[in-house]
Amino acid sequence: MKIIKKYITVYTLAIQGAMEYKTDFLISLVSGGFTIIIQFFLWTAIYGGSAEAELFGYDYGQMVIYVVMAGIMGKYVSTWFEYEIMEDIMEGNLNRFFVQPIGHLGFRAFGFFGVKTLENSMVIIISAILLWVISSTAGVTFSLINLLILLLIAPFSLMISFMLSYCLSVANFWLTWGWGVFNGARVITTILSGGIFPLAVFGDRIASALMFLPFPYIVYFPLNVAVGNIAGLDILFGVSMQIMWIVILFIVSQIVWPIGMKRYIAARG
Amino acid sequence: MQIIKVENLKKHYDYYQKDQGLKNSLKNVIKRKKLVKEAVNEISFNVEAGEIVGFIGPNGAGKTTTLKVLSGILFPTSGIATVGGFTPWERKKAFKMGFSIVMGQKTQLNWDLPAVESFNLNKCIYEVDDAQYRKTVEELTELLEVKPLLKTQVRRLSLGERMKMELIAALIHEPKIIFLDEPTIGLDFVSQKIIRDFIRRYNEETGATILLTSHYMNDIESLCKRAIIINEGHIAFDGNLADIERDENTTIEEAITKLYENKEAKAE
Amino acid sequence: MKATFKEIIKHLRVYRLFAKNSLMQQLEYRANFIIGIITECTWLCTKLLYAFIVHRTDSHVGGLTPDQVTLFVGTFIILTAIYTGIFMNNLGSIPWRVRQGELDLMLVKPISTQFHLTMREVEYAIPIPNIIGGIITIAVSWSRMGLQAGFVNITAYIYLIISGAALAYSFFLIPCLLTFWIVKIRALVEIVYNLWDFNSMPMQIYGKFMQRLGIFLVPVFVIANFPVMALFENLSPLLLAWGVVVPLLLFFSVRKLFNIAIKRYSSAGG
Repeated sequence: MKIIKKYITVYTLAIQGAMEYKTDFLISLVSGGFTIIIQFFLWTAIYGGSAEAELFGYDYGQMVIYVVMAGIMGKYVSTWFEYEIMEDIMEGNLNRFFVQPIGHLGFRAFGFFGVKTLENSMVIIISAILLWVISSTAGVTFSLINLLILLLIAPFSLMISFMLSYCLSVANFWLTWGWGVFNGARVITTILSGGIFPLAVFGDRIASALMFLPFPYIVYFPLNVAVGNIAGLDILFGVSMQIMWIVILFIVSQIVWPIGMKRYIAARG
Repeated sequence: MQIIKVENLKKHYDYYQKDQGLKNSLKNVIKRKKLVKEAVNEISFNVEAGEIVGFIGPNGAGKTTTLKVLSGILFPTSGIATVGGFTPWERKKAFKMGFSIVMGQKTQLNWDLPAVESFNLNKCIYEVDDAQYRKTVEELTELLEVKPLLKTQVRRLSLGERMKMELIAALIHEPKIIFLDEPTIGLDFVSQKIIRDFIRRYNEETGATILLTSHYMNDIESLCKRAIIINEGHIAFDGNLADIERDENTTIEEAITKLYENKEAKAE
Repeated sequence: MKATFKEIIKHLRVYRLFAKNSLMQQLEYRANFIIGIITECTWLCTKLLYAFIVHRTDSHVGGLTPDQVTLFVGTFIILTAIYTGIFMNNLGSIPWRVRQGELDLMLVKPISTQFHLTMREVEYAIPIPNIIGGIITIAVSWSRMGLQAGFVNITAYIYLIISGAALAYSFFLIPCLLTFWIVKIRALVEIVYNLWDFNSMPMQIYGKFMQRLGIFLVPVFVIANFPVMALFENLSPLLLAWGVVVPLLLFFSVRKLFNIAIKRYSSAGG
């Protein structure tokens, strides 16, 4: 019971912390908004300048929904604690996890999901407004049921994203300044997860090869459900793939973190 | 010749009171309490060429602010000052070429590079010719015993070594007027003494005028015949340290502390 | 006149030392340097992705052929190299430098304070992949098009690239200077910085209204669009004049603003 209480404290503390970082959140919303505007106009121009009505298996309406929602999903699954872990390791703050009866993964998970509940409820409201604006101005239609399914499976995406960042954070034990790695990794992850364009633009072969990686299940899979390109039993298959990746990444983290910790303790004598 | 003249110099600035808590932050958006800090209040003094003058005073007394105004970094609220014949805050190039300021709390050295790179940069900025530059660096590194450290990255130097490099960087262009703001802060006794001896010798050999502030009475006593004691923006004493009234069993520190307390009486 | 010339030479000499010292400093942290290059390669990929997609769909966006769009993207990449190499780090660190009090020691130096504060660092890692990638992209699309550009067009192209970089300097310096008035400036600076991305695609993809906004009110489109339009002879005399005038106009305005900011700095504080 006591342990649960501790986790809850971390959770609420994280929410308070998030309130303080509200300006950073605002920045990322506005800059994300810029990307969405650019993408919207780009695809409108591409479909306008092309003889085909359907490109890469998406009609205009599907593509617009996809790229707009991709910008929003990027915000929805974004992580930041890699940098906190970097600081913790540099400043030797990880020691407290040897003393406190609270696991590091647990601490990060509760802190992360604490901030995310708050942020993402705003993200969901904003995306609802955005979709309403787009549908009423650009004449794009979407299926409400598909969007509800998206709402249900998006938390799994968030968990994959969390576990991925958590595994990647071990790089901090070997690098003094991991920020470069994380920034690079973030761009690559975004591209490979379909967070900028649908993976189909790379061609069918590359797209289906990428499906063997965890990344597409963060953005590409849920958004294809949203635009109706994945339906029925395929949704269930995708969700089980999501769960599988969460489990695999959890196992990986349980292997790599102790190795890093050992190095951390050894380095500090 | 009076190389520095200061007359009724005043520096006031506004700041805003901020109480703790979100509620007060919001309140501040609508109405802020404006307060005036009287950093320097109508001070006057003159410095002869070749003098070393020490500024003494508690934290926040206005020492650094005075030096910043005399360097042209800050504009005064009112008053007149001439330094080497120039009004500092006009920031004329000829003025900047002839003086130097060292702030013990700030660095002009590039942290990641050997100090010699920063010297070289200053050589270029101050238009010093090669022969002169080589001679100056040679002499100063010799005097301060840091010659072997010239090629070591500044971040690997000790605090004392870094301060010595800081001094050299400030003297590359052979300034006639030098402001030293707490040049010995945080240093061990040995380094303090080396720097003190160096300042005295530099003054004797070049005849440069030096204004320095310090918390360490040793610095002032051994370097300056004349001290200016500032408290809360006012000059409480200006003259030879030996002239401060005190009986045999009071230390100079105690005598000065007493001066602070009498500040009001003196100011009137 | 002679004195001004002497000052310019001196500033160029100082700049050479800034550049040399920055390189030495960055090579001190070799791992970061290499990681910086790799990270930038990933960003370069996202920029090229746009061109890639236009090719795959063979769509004529805004009336431009895919090769023309690619040449635009290449120009944008080159401009990114110039901007990140010479300006970005300096502008970004202004609020920090001012708060740390570094400005104090710059004000006493007999060189231009604006020059000292905004140009003292040169970044090497980020521009390397961009210069290489940008030149290749331009060369490939140029030869695929078989573009026959005259001397005048090429000169205008290069001039507008340089003045575009100068425009970017002035434009992005403005929010940084607000740090002298407002303490918490980061949000604004970052938001304005993100306007840079509006140059990742030709402005023809946006509507007429957005185009006018981005040319005349918030002149970000001038940065990367005008050089390419001059190359394709798409730039009307009126716009060409604007493209030449606005960087100069903004530069002198920012210079004024900088002096006002410094004056404010010196009048306040203690």
